Amino acid sequence: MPSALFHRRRTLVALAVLVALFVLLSLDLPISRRARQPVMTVVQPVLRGLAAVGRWFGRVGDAIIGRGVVTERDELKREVEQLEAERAALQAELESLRATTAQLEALAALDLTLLPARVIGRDPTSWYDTAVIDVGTGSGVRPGMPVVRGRWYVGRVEEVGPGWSRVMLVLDARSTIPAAVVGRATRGLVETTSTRTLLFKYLANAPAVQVGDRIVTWRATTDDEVSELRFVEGFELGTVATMRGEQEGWQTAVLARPAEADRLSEVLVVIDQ
Amino acid sequence: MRLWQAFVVFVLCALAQAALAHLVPAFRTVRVDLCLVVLIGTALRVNEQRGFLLGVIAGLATDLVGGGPLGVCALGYGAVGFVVGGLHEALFRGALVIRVLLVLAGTAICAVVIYYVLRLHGDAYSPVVMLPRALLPSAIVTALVGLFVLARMERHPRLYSRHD
Repeated sequence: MPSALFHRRRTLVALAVLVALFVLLSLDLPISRRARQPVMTVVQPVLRGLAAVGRWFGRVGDAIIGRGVVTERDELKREVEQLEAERAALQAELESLRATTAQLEALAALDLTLLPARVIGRDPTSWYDTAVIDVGTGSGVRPGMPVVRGRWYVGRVEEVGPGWSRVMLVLDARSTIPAAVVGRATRGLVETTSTRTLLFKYLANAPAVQVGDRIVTWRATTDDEVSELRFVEGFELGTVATMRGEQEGWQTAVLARPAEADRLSEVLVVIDQ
Repeated sequence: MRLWQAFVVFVLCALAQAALAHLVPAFRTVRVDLCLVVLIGTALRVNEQRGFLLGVIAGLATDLVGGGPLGVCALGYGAVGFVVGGLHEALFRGALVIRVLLVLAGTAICAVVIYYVLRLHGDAYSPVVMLPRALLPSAIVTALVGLFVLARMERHPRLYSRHD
Protein backbone atom coordinates (compact mmCIF):
# COMPACT_ATOMS: atom_id res chain seq x y z
CA MET A 1 0.00 0.00 0.00
CA PRO A 2 2.70 2.57 0.95
CA SER A 3 4.71 1.66 -2.18
CA ALA A 4 1.60 2.07 -4.35
CA LEU A 5 1.11 5.52 -2.85
CA PHE A 6 4.79 6.32 -3.38
CA HIS A 7 4.51 5.40 -7.08
CA ARG A 8 1.50 7.66 -7.44
CA ARG A 9 2.96 10.51 -5.41
CA ARG A 10 2.94 13.00 -8.31
CA THR A 11 -0.74 12.33 -8.99
CA LEU A 12 -1.46 12.76 -5.28
CA VAL A 13 0.49 16.02 -5.14
CA ALA A 14 -1.42 17.31 -8.19
CA LEU A 15 -4.74 16.32 -6.59
CA ALA A 16 -3.77 17.97 -3.29
CA VAL A 17 -2.88 21.19 -5.12
CA LEU A 18 -6.22 21.07 -6.97
CA VAL A 19 -8.19 20.58 -3.73
CA ALA A 20 -6.20 23.36 -2.01
CA LEU A 21 -7.00 25.77 -4.85
CA PHE A 22 -10.72 25.00 -4.69
CA VAL A 23 -10.73 25.43 -0.89
CA LEU A 24 -8.80 28.72 -1.26
CA LEU A 25 -11.31 30.06 -3.77
CA SER A 26 -14.47 28.83 -2.06
CA LEU A 27 -13.53 30.22 1.37
CA ASP A 28 -12.79 33.65 -0.16
CA LEU A 29 -10.07 34.36 2.43
CA PRO A 30 -8.19 37.69 2.43
CA ILE A 31 -5.06 35.64 1.66
CA SER A 32 -4.71 37.18 -1.84
CA ARG A 33 -3.74 40.55 -0.42
CA ARG A 34 -1.38 39.06 2.18
CA ALA A 35 0.31 36.75 -0.32
CA ARG A 36 0.68 39.52 -2.89
CA GLN A 37 2.28 42.07 -0.54
CA PRO A 38 5.74 40.45 -0.24
CA VAL A 39 5.86 39.26 -3.84
CA MET A 40 4.91 42.67 -5.26
CA THR A 41 7.32 44.42 -2.90
CA VAL A 42 10.17 42.21 -4.12
CA VAL A 43 9.33 42.40 -7.83
CA GLN A 44 8.18 46.04 -8.10
CA PRO A 45 11.72 47.33 -8.85
CA VAL A 46 11.77 44.91 -11.82
CA LEU A 47 8.39 46.25 -12.97
CA ARG A 48 9.64 49.81 -12.49
CA GLY A 49 12.77 48.95 -14.52
CA LEU A 50 10.73 47.33 -17.30
CA ALA A 51 8.49 50.38 -17.47
CA ALA A 52 11.52 52.72 -17.63
CA VAL A 53 13.18 50.61 -20.36
CA GLY A 54 9.89 50.55 -22.27
CA ARG A 55 9.54 54.33 -21.99
CA TRP A 56 13.12 54.78 -23.22
CA PHE A 57 12.52 52.47 -26.22
CA GLY A 58 9.30 54.33 -26.97
CA ARG A 59 11.09 57.69 -27.01
CA VAL A 60 13.95 56.38 -29.15
CA GLY A 61 11.38 54.82 -31.51
CA ASP A 62 9.50 58.10 -31.71
CA ALA A 63 12.73 59.96 -32.45
CA ILE A 64 13.76 57.50 -35.20
CA ILE A 65 10.31 57.27 -36.84
CA GLY A 66 10.02 61.07 -36.72
CA ARG A 67 13.18 61.57 -38.76
CA GLY A 68 12.84 58.79 -41.34
CA VAL A 69 15.48 56.23 -42.37
CA VAL A 70 18.57 55.82 -40.23
CA THR A 71 21.82 54.78 -41.87
CA GLU A 72 24.16 52.91 -39.58
CA ARG A 73 27.30 53.59 -41.62
CA ASP A 74 27.79 57.15 -40.59
CA GLU A 75 29.27 57.37 -37.10
CA LEU A 76 28.48 61.05 -36.80
CA LYS A 77 24.90 60.53 -37.79
CA ARG A 78 24.54 57.91 -35.08
CA GLU A 79 25.88 60.34 -32.54
CA VAL A 80 23.34 62.92 -33.65
CA GLU A 81 20.62 60.30 -33.36
CA GLN A 82 21.68 59.50 -29.84
CA LEU A 83 21.55 63.16 -28.94
CA GLU A 84 18.15 63.45 -30.60
CA ALA A 85 16.91 60.47 -28.62
CA GLU A 86 18.20 62.00 -25.41
CA ARG A 87 16.53 65.28 -26.32
CA ALA A 88 13.27 63.39 -27.05
CA ALA A 89 13.57 61.66 -23.69
CA LEU A 90 14.07 64.98 -21.91
CA GLN A 91 11.21 66.48 -23.91
CA ALA A 92 8.94 63.59 -22.83
CA GLU A 93 10.00 64.10 -19.20
CA LEU A 94 9.19 67.80 -19.54
CA GLU A 95 5.79 67.02 -21.09
CA SER A 96 5.09 64.57 -18.28
CA LEU A 97 5.94 67.27 -15.71
CA ARG A 98 3.78 69.80 -17.57
CA ALA A 99 0.86 67.31 -17.64
CA THR A 100 1.16 66.78 -13.87
CA THR A 101 1.44 70.54 -13.25
CA ALA A 102 -1.63 71.19 -15.43
CA GLN A 103 -3.58 68.56 -13.45
CA LEU A 104 -2.51 70.09 -10.14
CA GLU A 105 -3.41 73.62 -11.32
CA ALA A 106 -6.85 72.49 -12.52
CA LEU A 107 -7.57 70.94 -9.13
CA ALA A 108 -6.02 73.68 -6.96
CA ALA A 109 -9.42 75.21 -6.16
CA LEU A 110 -10.77 71.95 -4.72
CA ASP A 111 -8.64 72.06 -1.58
CA LEU A 112 -7.46 68.47 -1.84
CA THR A 113 -4.09 67.04 -0.91
CA LEU A 114 -2.88 65.33 -4.07
CA LEU A 115 0.09 63.06 -4.62
CA PRO A 116 1.47 62.68 -8.18
CA ALA A 117 2.19 59.10 -9.23
CA ARG A 118 3.40 57.31 -12.31
CA VAL A 119 1.75 54.15 -13.68
CA ILE A 120 4.38 51.38 -14.00
CA GLY A 121 2.21 48.39 -14.93
CA ARG A 122 -1.26 47.15 -15.82
CA ASP A 123 -3.02 43.88 -15.02
CA PRO A 124 -1.37 40.95 -16.84
CA THR A 125 -4.76 39.35 -17.68
CA SER A 126 -7.71 40.55 -19.77
CA TRP A 127 -10.16 39.75 -16.96
CA TYR A 128 -9.33 42.66 -14.66
CA ASP A 129 -8.43 46.32 -15.16
CA THR A 130 -5.94 47.31 -12.49
CA ALA A 131 -2.81 49.47 -12.59
CA VAL A 132 0.34 49.53 -10.46
CA ILE A 133 1.60 53.01 -9.48
CA ASP A 134 5.01 53.97 -8.08
CA VAL A 135 3.91 55.43 -4.71
CA GLY A 136 3.04 53.43 -1.61
CA THR A 137 2.91 53.34 2.17
CA GLY A 138 5.97 55.59 2.52
CA SER A 139 4.16 58.41 0.70
CA GLY A 140 1.06 58.09 2.86
CA VAL A 141 -1.07 56.10 0.42
CA ARG A 142 -3.76 53.93 2.04
CA PRO A 143 -6.29 51.44 0.62
CA GLY A 144 -9.52 53.08 -0.53
CA MET A 145 -7.97 56.41 -1.59
CA PRO A 146 -9.36 57.81 -4.86
CA VAL A 147 -7.09 58.21 -7.88
CA VAL A 148 -7.82 60.92 -10.46
CA ARG A 149 -6.42 62.30 -13.71
CA GLY A 150 -7.24 65.98 -14.04
CA ARG A 151 -11.02 66.24 -13.60
CA TRP A 152 -11.52 62.53 -14.37
CA TYR A 153 -12.01 59.85 -11.73
CA VAL A 154 -9.65 56.98 -12.57
CA GLY A 155 -10.14 54.45 -9.74
CA ARG A 156 -9.28 53.72 -6.14
CA VAL A 157 -6.30 52.24 -4.33
CA GLU A 158 -6.88 48.56 -3.59
CA GLU A 159 -3.56 47.35 -2.17
CA VAL A 160 -0.53 49.24 -0.90
CA GLY A 161 3.06 48.21 -0.29
CA PRO A 162 6.39 50.00 0.14
CA GLY A 163 6.92 51.96 -3.09
CA TRP A 164 3.91 50.57 -4.95
CA SER A 165 0.12 50.57 -4.90
CA ARG A 166 -2.46 48.72 -6.96
CA VAL A 167 -5.36 50.78 -8.28
CA MET A 168 -8.67 49.18 -9.26
CA LEU A 169 -9.57 51.25 -12.30
CA VAL A 170 -13.06 52.52 -13.02
CA LEU A 171 -13.19 50.18 -16.05
CA ASP A 172 -12.71 47.04 -13.91
CA ALA A 173 -15.86 44.89 -13.92
CA ARG A 174 -15.81 44.78 -10.07
CA SER A 175 -15.92 48.58 -9.72
CA THR A 176 -18.95 50.32 -8.17
CA ILE A 177 -18.90 54.09 -7.50
CA PRO A 178 -21.50 56.37 -5.88
CA ALA A 179 -22.45 58.96 -8.51
CA ALA A 180 -24.69 61.96 -9.11
CA VAL A 181 -26.03 63.87 -12.11
CA VAL A 182 -24.73 67.43 -12.51
CA GLY A 183 -27.61 69.92 -12.07
CA ARG A 184 -30.17 67.32 -10.92
CA ALA A 185 -31.00 65.75 -7.60
CA THR A 186 -30.53 62.23 -8.94
CA ARG A 187 -28.10 59.96 -7.11
CA GLY A 188 -27.12 56.44 -8.08
CA LEU A 189 -24.28 54.02 -8.72
CA VAL A 190 -21.90 53.67 -11.64
CA GLU A 191 -21.11 50.02 -12.37
CA THR A 192 -18.86 48.55 -15.04
CA THR A 193 -19.71 45.60 -17.28
CA SER A 194 -17.20 42.97 -18.39
CA THR A 195 -16.85 44.87 -21.70
CA ARG A 196 -15.68 48.03 -19.90
CA THR A 197 -19.00 49.82 -20.41
CA LEU A 198 -20.04 52.20 -17.61
CA LEU A 199 -23.69 52.00 -16.49
CA PHE A 200 -25.36 54.62 -14.29
CA LYS A 201 -28.12 52.97 -12.22
CA TYR A 202 -30.64 55.01 -10.26
CA LEU A 203 -34.08 54.52 -8.75
CA ALA A 204 -36.87 54.75 -11.32
CA ASN A 205 -38.83 57.29 -9.24
CA ALA A 206 -35.86 59.72 -9.06
CA PRO A 207 -35.78 62.84 -11.30
CA ALA A 208 -35.27 61.73 -14.91
CA VAL A 209 -31.85 61.67 -16.53
CA GLN A 210 -31.36 62.77 -20.13
CA VAL A 211 -28.86 62.03 -22.87
CA GLY A 212 -25.94 64.43 -22.54
CA ASP A 213 -26.16 64.73 -18.74
CA ARG A 214 -22.76 64.69 -16.98
CA ILE A 215 -22.27 62.06 -14.29
CA VAL A 216 -19.79 62.83 -11.50
CA THR A 217 -18.60 61.04 -8.37
CA TRP A 218 -20.58 61.64 -5.21
CA ARG A 219 -19.30 61.41 -1.65
CA ALA A 220 -21.35 58.72 0.06
CA THR A 221 -21.90 59.55 3.73
CA THR A 222 -22.34 56.08 5.21
CA ASP A 223 -20.04 53.13 5.80
CA ASP A 224 -16.91 55.04 4.75
CA GLU A 225 -15.19 54.26 8.05
CA VAL A 226 -16.20 50.63 7.94
CA SER A 227 -15.33 49.84 4.35
CA GLU A 228 -12.12 51.94 4.22
CA LEU A 229 -13.45 53.52 1.01
CA ARG A 230 -13.04 57.26 0.68
CA PHE A 231 -15.23 58.77 -2.00
CA VAL A 232 -14.43 62.18 -3.38
CA GLU A 233 -17.07 64.47 -4.84
CA GLY A 234 -17.31 66.11 -8.25
CA PHE A 235 -14.93 64.12 -10.45
CA GLU A 236 -16.14 63.26 -13.95
CA LEU A 237 -17.20 59.67 -14.72
CA GLY A 238 -18.81 60.15 -18.13
CA THR A 239 -21.72 61.57 -20.12
CA VAL A 240 -25.07 59.82 -20.62
CA ALA A 241 -24.98 58.37 -24.15
CA THR A 242 -28.14 56.20 -24.22
CA MET A 243 -30.97 55.18 -21.89
CA ARG A 244 -31.69 51.47 -21.39
CA GLY A 245 -35.08 51.82 -19.70
CA GLU A 246 -36.55 50.58 -16.44
CA GLN A 247 -35.87 47.14 -14.93
CA GLU A 248 -36.98 46.00 -11.46
CA GLY A 249 -37.43 49.57 -10.25
CA TRP A 250 -34.04 50.74 -11.55
CA GLN A 251 -33.31 52.97 -14.52
CA THR A 252 -30.06 52.37 -16.36
CA ALA A 253 -28.11 54.82 -18.52
CA VAL A 254 -25.06 53.91 -20.61
CA LEU A 255 -22.18 56.36 -20.17
CA ALA A 256 -19.70 57.56 -22.76
CA ARG A 257 -16.17 58.25 -21.54
CA PRO A 258 -13.38 59.69 -23.73
CA ALA A 259 -10.36 57.44 -24.29
CA GLU A 260 -8.05 60.22 -23.02
CA ALA A 261 -9.56 59.81 -19.53
CA ASP A 262 -8.09 56.29 -19.29
CA ARG A 263 -4.83 56.88 -21.15
CA LEU A 264 -2.81 56.58 -17.98
CA SER A 265 0.80 57.57 -17.47
CA GLU A 266 0.66 60.18 -14.69
CA VAL A 267 -2.15 60.19 -12.13
CA LEU A 268 -2.91 61.89 -8.81
CA VAL A 269 -3.79 60.11 -5.56
CA VAL A 270 -6.23 62.05 -3.36
CA ILE A 271 -4.46 61.75 -0.01
CA ASP A 272 -6.74 64.05 1.99
CA GLN A 273 -10.11 65.69 1.36
CA MET B 1 13.32 23.00 -15.09
CA ARG B 2 12.81 22.77 -11.33
CA LEU B 3 9.58 24.09 -9.86
CA TRP B 4 11.17 27.09 -8.11
CA GLN B 5 13.00 27.97 -11.30
CA ALA B 6 9.70 27.72 -13.15
CA PHE B 7 8.11 30.06 -10.58
CA VAL B 8 10.84 32.70 -11.14
CA VAL B 9 10.48 32.41 -14.94
CA PHE B 10 6.68 32.70 -14.75
CA VAL B 11 6.82 35.71 -12.38
CA LEU B 12 9.17 37.43 -14.86
CA CYS B 13 6.78 36.57 -17.70
CA ALA B 14 3.83 37.99 -15.72
CA LEU B 15 5.82 41.18 -14.99
CA ALA B 16 6.69 41.52 -18.69
CA GLN B 17 2.96 41.09 -19.49
CA ALA B 18 2.06 43.80 -16.96
CA ALA B 19 4.68 46.22 -18.32
CA LEU B 20 3.73 45.47 -21.95
CA ALA B 21 0.01 46.01 -21.24
CA HIS B 22 0.88 49.44 -19.83
CA LEU B 23 3.26 50.40 -22.63
CA VAL B 24 0.85 49.51 -25.43
CA PRO B 25 -2.34 51.25 -24.25
CA ALA B 26 -3.93 50.93 -27.70
CA PHE B 27 -4.38 47.22 -26.90
CA ARG B 28 -6.55 48.04 -23.84
CA THR B 29 -8.17 44.66 -23.14
CA VAL B 30 -5.81 42.64 -25.33
CA ARG B 31 -3.00 40.90 -23.45
CA VAL B 32 -0.01 38.92 -24.72
CA ASP B 33 -0.06 35.81 -22.53
CA LEU B 34 3.66 35.06 -22.23
CA CYS B 35 3.05 32.77 -19.23
CA LEU B 36 0.78 30.56 -21.32
CA VAL B 37 3.28 30.35 -24.18
CA VAL B 38 6.16 29.41 -21.85
CA LEU B 39 3.87 26.97 -20.02
CA ILE B 40 3.00 25.22 -23.30
CA GLY B 41 6.68 25.10 -24.26
CA THR B 42 7.64 23.47 -20.96
CA ALA B 43 4.56 21.26 -20.44
CA LEU B 44 5.13 19.61 -23.84
CA ARG B 45 8.29 18.03 -22.39
CA VAL B 46 6.71 16.54 -19.27
CA ASN B 47 3.76 14.34 -18.28
CA GLU B 48 0.22 15.36 -17.28
CA GLN B 49 0.86 15.68 -13.52
CA ARG B 50 4.01 17.71 -13.96
CA GLY B 51 2.27 19.81 -16.61
CA PHE B 52 -0.55 20.50 -14.16
CA LEU B 53 1.91 21.57 -11.44
CA LEU B 54 3.77 23.84 -13.87
CA GLY B 55 0.40 25.31 -14.92
CA VAL B 56 -0.58 25.98 -11.31
CA ILE B 57 2.77 27.71 -10.73
CA ALA B 58 2.32 29.83 -13.89
CA GLY B 59 -1.21 30.74 -12.76
CA LEU B 60 -0.13 31.60 -9.22
CA ALA B 61 2.60 33.86 -10.61
CA THR B 62 -0.01 35.64 -12.75
CA ASP B 63 -2.43 35.85 -9.80
CA LEU B 64 0.27 37.33 -7.57
CA VAL B 65 1.29 39.99 -10.10
CA GLY B 66 -2.33 40.69 -11.16
CA GLY B 67 -5.29 42.08 -9.25
CA GLY B 68 -7.75 39.17 -9.22
CA PRO B 69 -8.52 36.56 -6.54
CA LEU B 70 -5.63 34.21 -5.80
CA GLY B 71 -6.09 30.80 -7.45
CA VAL B 72 -8.32 31.69 -10.42
CA CYS B 73 -5.56 31.76 -13.03
CA ALA B 74 -3.84 28.87 -11.23
CA LEU B 75 -6.80 26.63 -12.05
CA GLY B 76 -7.01 27.88 -15.64
CA TYR B 77 -3.32 27.42 -16.37
CA GLY B 78 -3.32 24.14 -14.43
CA ALA B 79 -5.92 22.76 -16.84
CA VAL B 80 -3.81 23.88 -19.81
CA GLY B 81 -0.67 22.32 -18.29
CA PHE B 82 -2.51 19.04 -17.69
CA VAL B 83 -3.83 18.84 -21.28
CA VAL B 84 -0.55 19.89 -22.91
CA GLY B 85 1.44 17.57 -20.62
CA GLY B 86 -0.63 14.67 -21.96
CA LEU B 87 0.39 15.41 -25.56
CA HIS B 88 3.45 13.97 -27.22
CA GLU B 89 6.07 16.61 -27.90
CA ALA B 90 7.31 14.96 -31.12
CA LEU B 91 3.96 15.69 -32.78
CA PHE B 92 4.52 19.42 -32.47
CA ARG B 93 8.23 19.72 -33.20
CA GLY B 94 8.90 22.09 -36.09
CA ALA B 95 5.26 22.39 -37.16
CA LEU B 96 4.48 26.09 -37.00
CA VAL B 97 0.77 25.88 -37.80
CA ILE B 98 0.18 23.17 -35.22
CA ARG B 99 2.05 25.20 -32.60
CA VAL B 100 -0.14 28.23 -33.33
CA LEU B 101 -3.24 26.04 -33.03
CA LEU B 102 -1.91 24.64 -29.74
CA VAL B 103 -1.51 28.16 -28.28
CA LEU B 104 -5.02 29.09 -29.50
CA ALA B 105 -6.46 25.91 -27.94
CA GLY B 106 -4.54 26.59 -24.72
CA THR B 107 -5.93 30.14 -24.54
CA ALA B 108 -9.45 28.79 -25.09
CA ILE B 109 -9.11 26.13 -22.35
CA CYS B 110 -7.69 28.71 -19.94
CA ALA B 111 -10.47 31.23 -20.72
CA VAL B 112 -13.24 28.65 -20.26
CA VAL B 113 -11.88 27.48 -16.89
CA ILE B 114 -11.28 31.05 -15.62
CA TYR B 115 -14.77 32.10 -16.78
CA TYR B 116 -16.45 29.28 -14.84
CA VAL B 117 -14.29 29.81 -11.74
CA LEU B 118 -15.13 33.54 -11.77
CA ARG B 119 -18.83 32.71 -12.13
CA LEU B 120 -18.58 30.40 -9.10
CA HIS B 121 -16.74 33.22 -7.32
CA GLY B 122 -19.67 35.57 -7.99
CA ASP B 123 -18.13 37.83 -10.65
CA ALA B 124 -20.42 38.33 -13.66
CA TYR B 125 -18.70 38.17 -17.02
CA SER B 126 -20.38 37.81 -20.40
CA PRO B 127 -18.38 35.40 -22.59
CA VAL B 128 -20.40 36.34 -25.70
CA VAL B 129 -19.34 39.98 -25.45
CA MET B 130 -15.84 39.31 -24.08
CA LEU B 131 -14.95 36.82 -26.83
CA PRO B 132 -14.68 39.24 -29.80
CA ARG B 133 -13.41 42.21 -27.77
CA ALA B 134 -10.82 40.67 -25.47
CA LEU B 135 -10.39 36.90 -25.61
CA LEU B 136 -10.10 36.28 -29.37
CA PRO B 137 -7.71 39.21 -30.10
CA SER B 138 -5.60 38.19 -27.07
CA ALA B 139 -5.51 34.57 -28.31
CA ILE B 140 -4.40 35.65 -31.81
CA VAL B 141 -1.68 38.02 -30.54
CA THR B 142 -0.49 35.38 -28.05
CA ALA B 143 -0.35 32.74 -30.82
CA LEU B 144 1.75 35.05 -33.01
CA VAL B 145 4.14 35.81 -30.14
CA GLY B 146 4.09 32.09 -29.30
CA LEU B 147 5.48 31.26 -32.75
CA PHE B 148 8.74 33.04 -31.95
CA VAL B 149 8.97 32.11 -28.27
CA LEU B 150 8.28 28.40 -28.85
CA ALA B 151 10.78 28.32 -31.72
CA ARG B 152 13.41 29.83 -29.39
CA MET B 153 12.52 27.33 -26.65
CA GLU B 154 12.84 24.44 -29.10
CA ARG B 155 16.45 25.44 -29.75
CA HIS B 156 17.30 25.02 -26.04
CA PRO B 157 15.48 21.81 -25.05
CA ARG B 158 17.74 21.10 -22.03
CA LEU B 159 16.91 24.42 -20.43
CA TYR B 160 13.21 23.67 -20.24
CA SER B 161 13.22 19.88 -19.80
CA ARG B 162 12.72 18.05 -16.56
CA HIS B 163 15.62 17.97 -14.06
CA ASP B 164 14.00 16.55 -10.92
